[in-house]
Amino acid sequence: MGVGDREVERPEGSTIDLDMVLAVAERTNAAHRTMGTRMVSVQRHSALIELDWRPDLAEVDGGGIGHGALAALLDHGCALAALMSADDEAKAGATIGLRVDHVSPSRPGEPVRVQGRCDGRGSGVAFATARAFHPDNPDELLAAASATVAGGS
Amino acid sequence: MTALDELIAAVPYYRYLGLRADQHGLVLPADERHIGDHSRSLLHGGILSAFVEAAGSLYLRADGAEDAVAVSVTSDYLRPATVVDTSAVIAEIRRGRRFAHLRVDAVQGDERRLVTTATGVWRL
Repeated sequence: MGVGDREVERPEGSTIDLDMVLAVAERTNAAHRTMGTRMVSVQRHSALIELDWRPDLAEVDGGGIGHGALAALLDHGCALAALMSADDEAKAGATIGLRVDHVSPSRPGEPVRVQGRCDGRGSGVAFATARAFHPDNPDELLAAASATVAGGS
Repeated sequence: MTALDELIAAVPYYRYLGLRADQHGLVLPADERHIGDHSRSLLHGGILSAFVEAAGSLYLRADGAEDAVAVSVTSDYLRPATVVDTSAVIAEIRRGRRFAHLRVDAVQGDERRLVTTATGVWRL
């Protein structure tokens, strides 16, 4: 199915409004709208987002995307995965805790992708994790996060 | 420019966030660009995580650890953060030779209301 101006496949078993998910991913969150975060694809319990390199997001002049920008991107990937898994906007809430681990520096000029996955739900929260990597190098971990998101089963 | 201002100016992402120093320390200025929850005008948690990481890194760099960088930082979002200035309060838990453990609290308002608390490890 088309979502906005691109094809995003409806995950099997999902009933969530994909236009809403796209809006959350790219537009209604001002922080990510101004960073230029883009949704790549969604799955039943996960979401893949991407951020293009920009000089104003770098860690040093001419360097790779900054640690703080990666932290924000990882948070967003976790929250979107929790939203997909909840399958209902009313059941997906805000992040209440987030751990970010920095593994390898990102490379100048290169975009970063974050794959977020919802690992489980219970006790009124969802648990999600996310990995940041360059699109051409998915096995090289740049940063990782785990999040507790309000709104479990 | 103070030493902290110079350290902020060296990082493009810190300039993007609009970070500045006041008499208490590092401030994330109120800015609608940092909103996460559009319907309730609240700051994005990820931006607050970026802020506490920056606060820890800048604190250590201003104290002689020029290459200090965050390794792992855990943030607890305690209260919704509105679009007002947010200040960082730092406590050293332990500073070793290679690593420093810090606590960073993000506070808002005259009453210094705690919106986010974080602990983490920085490499010196």
